[in-house]
Amino acid sequence: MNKKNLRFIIALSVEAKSIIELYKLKEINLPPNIFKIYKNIDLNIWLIISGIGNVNSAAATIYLYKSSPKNKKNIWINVGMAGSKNFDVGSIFNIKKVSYKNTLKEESFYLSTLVNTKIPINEIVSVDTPEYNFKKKKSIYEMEGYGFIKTVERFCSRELIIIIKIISDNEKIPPINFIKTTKHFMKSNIKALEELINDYIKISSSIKNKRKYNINIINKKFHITYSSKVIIEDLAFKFEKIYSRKELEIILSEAKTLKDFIREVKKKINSYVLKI
Amino acid sequence: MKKVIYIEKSIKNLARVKAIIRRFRDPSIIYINRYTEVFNKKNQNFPLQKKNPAVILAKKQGNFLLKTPESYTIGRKNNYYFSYMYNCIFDCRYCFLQGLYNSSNFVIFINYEDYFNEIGLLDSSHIANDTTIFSGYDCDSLAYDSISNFSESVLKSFNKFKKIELEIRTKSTYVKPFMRKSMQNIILAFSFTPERFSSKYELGVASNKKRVKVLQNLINKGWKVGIRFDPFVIYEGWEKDYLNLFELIFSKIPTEQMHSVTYGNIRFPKNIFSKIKKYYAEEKLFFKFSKYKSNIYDEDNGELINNFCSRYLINYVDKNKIYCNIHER
Repeated sequence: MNKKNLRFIIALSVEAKSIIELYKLKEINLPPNIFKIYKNIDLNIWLIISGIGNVNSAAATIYLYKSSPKNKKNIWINVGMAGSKNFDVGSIFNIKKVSYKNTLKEESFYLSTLVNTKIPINEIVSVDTPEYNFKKKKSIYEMEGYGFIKTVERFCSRELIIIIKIISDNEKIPPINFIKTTKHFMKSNIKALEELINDYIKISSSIKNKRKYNINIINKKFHITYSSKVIIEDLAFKFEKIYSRKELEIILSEAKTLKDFIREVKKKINSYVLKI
Repeated sequence: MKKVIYIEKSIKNLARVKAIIRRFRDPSIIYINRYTEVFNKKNQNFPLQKKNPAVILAKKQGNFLLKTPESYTIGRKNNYYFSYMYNCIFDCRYCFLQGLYNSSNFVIFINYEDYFNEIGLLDSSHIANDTTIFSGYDCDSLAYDSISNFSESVLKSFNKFKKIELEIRTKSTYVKPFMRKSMQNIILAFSFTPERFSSKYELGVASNKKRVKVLQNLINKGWKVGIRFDPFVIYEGWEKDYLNLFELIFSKIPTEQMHSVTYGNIRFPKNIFSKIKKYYAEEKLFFKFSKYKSNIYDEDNGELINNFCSRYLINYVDKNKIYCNIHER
C-alpha cells in the first residue's frame, strides 16, 4: 500500500470523529492554536476543524498548509454534511463542481473527474447562510466547499482534491438531532470514504517529487557556485541514469578542474544512444 | 471508469451534442459556461488525466483557421491548420500537446460548419489553388472520429471545395468514413515510427502492420496518401528499423497515389519542453536535448536524419515529393 498523505478540512468535530478514529489521529498543541488540529503518529495524515462557513474553511485550509509537511502527493479533502431538496438523507456524493454566488460575483470551480466510481458524483451550491428552501432541485447545498476549493487549488494539483458531502437533511427531513444523525451517517459512510481515498492515493503515488541529486562528492573536490550547481545536478542525474554512480566517480577522480569534469560528463551523455 | 462529459450550456440542446452523448454508456454530465473554466485552469496534471480523460463539448468562438509555421509545406505556398479537437486518445511520450495544454481532457468543438465556412471563403479566394489546410495539429484527426463523426462533415464539405487541398493526419486505424469513392482534394496522411519504438513510446497506437493494411485499403479506394516520419527518431538500431519500415510502407503505395513524404526530428519550443521535462524527468528520450538559437529544444540530430532520408527515401519516392522539417541549428 502506498503511503497516505492526507489533509482533511472538516467544519465540525462531530463530522470529524469517524475519520479521527479511522486514521488514529491525536490532537496536537500547535500554538497559537487558532484551529484544532489532529495528526497521526507518522505525521502524514492531518486534520483541521475549520468551523462553519466558507471564510473559516479557506482560513483553515491555508493554516493547515502552513502547519503540515508539504509534499506534492498530499491529498486535500473536505468532508461534511449538506442539505438538498430530494436526495435521501445519509447518501454520499463525490463533488465535481462547486458553484458560489453572492450579490457581487458568481464563480464555479471544477474538481478532477479522474475518480468517478464507487461514490456517485454530483455538484454543490456553496452558500454563506444556511439554506432551507433548496431552490435548485438537483443541487446539494453546503457552506464550506467554496472557501476550501478556492484556497486549495492554489497549491494542490486538481487531481488530488476531494470534496465529499453527505446529505443530512432534505425537504421532508429537517436537520433535527444533527449531532446524532451526523455521527451515524459519517460512521455508515466511512468505509466508502476510505475506499475512495485509497483510489486517490493510487493516483498520487504516480506523481514524482522533484528529482534531487546529491552532488556532495563533487562539491568536496570542486567549489561549486549556485548557478553551476543546477547544471551539475542535472548532468549528474542524467549520467547516473544512463551509466552509473561508479563511472561518475571515476570521471570525477580523473578531472583536474570542474570545467574538465563538466565537459567529460556532457561528452559521455551526448555519446549515449537511446536503447529500446 | 465512467465517462464524464462537460457541456457548455449554450450548446446542450444541439443535435450533434446529443448524438455524441449517445455514444457513451451512462455518462455523467456536468454543465459549464465556457470550456476554458475546466480546460485552462492551472495546477492540473496532464499525465494523470490521461488515465481517464473527460470529454468537453464546446463551441469554438473564432480563429478557425491558423497559419502554419512559415517553412511548413507539402508542396503548396499557403498553409493553414485547424483543430476541431484538442488532445488525443493516444499517449505518445514525445507529444508536444502534453506541454502545450494544462489538461489532457478531450475538447471537441462541435460547430464544424464554422470551420468549413471559413475554408469555403479561402476556397473562393485567389490563393485557393496554392493552399493546403492541415487537420491533426492539436489532435489526431481520426482517432476520436467514431465519437465526433467529424470526417463525415469533412467529406460533405470538401465535396463542394474545388481548389483547396486538405491533409488529414492520423495514427488511427479508424477510416470507416473513407471507405467510399476517393476525393482528389483530400490527402490521408499517416505518421509512422519503427515498430520497436512505437510499441514503447506511442501507447494506444495500433501496430505498423495493421496501419499499413488500412493504408492499403484506402489506396484500393483511390485515396491519395501521405507518409509522415515526423518525428523521425534516433535510437540503437534505428537505421535497420527505418529501412525495414520504408520497405513495409512504400512497397504498398503506387507512385501516382503517393502525395508526399515528410520527415523531421523531435523538437519543442522552450516552454513546452520545460513542462514535458518536469513530467518525465527520468525519460532518457529527452536527455540529450539542448536549446538552439530560436529557443527550440532538440537533440542536434538533424543532419544525421537529413542525410539518411535524402539517401534512402529517394529509392522509393520521387524527390519532389519529399519535404524536410528539420531546421538548421
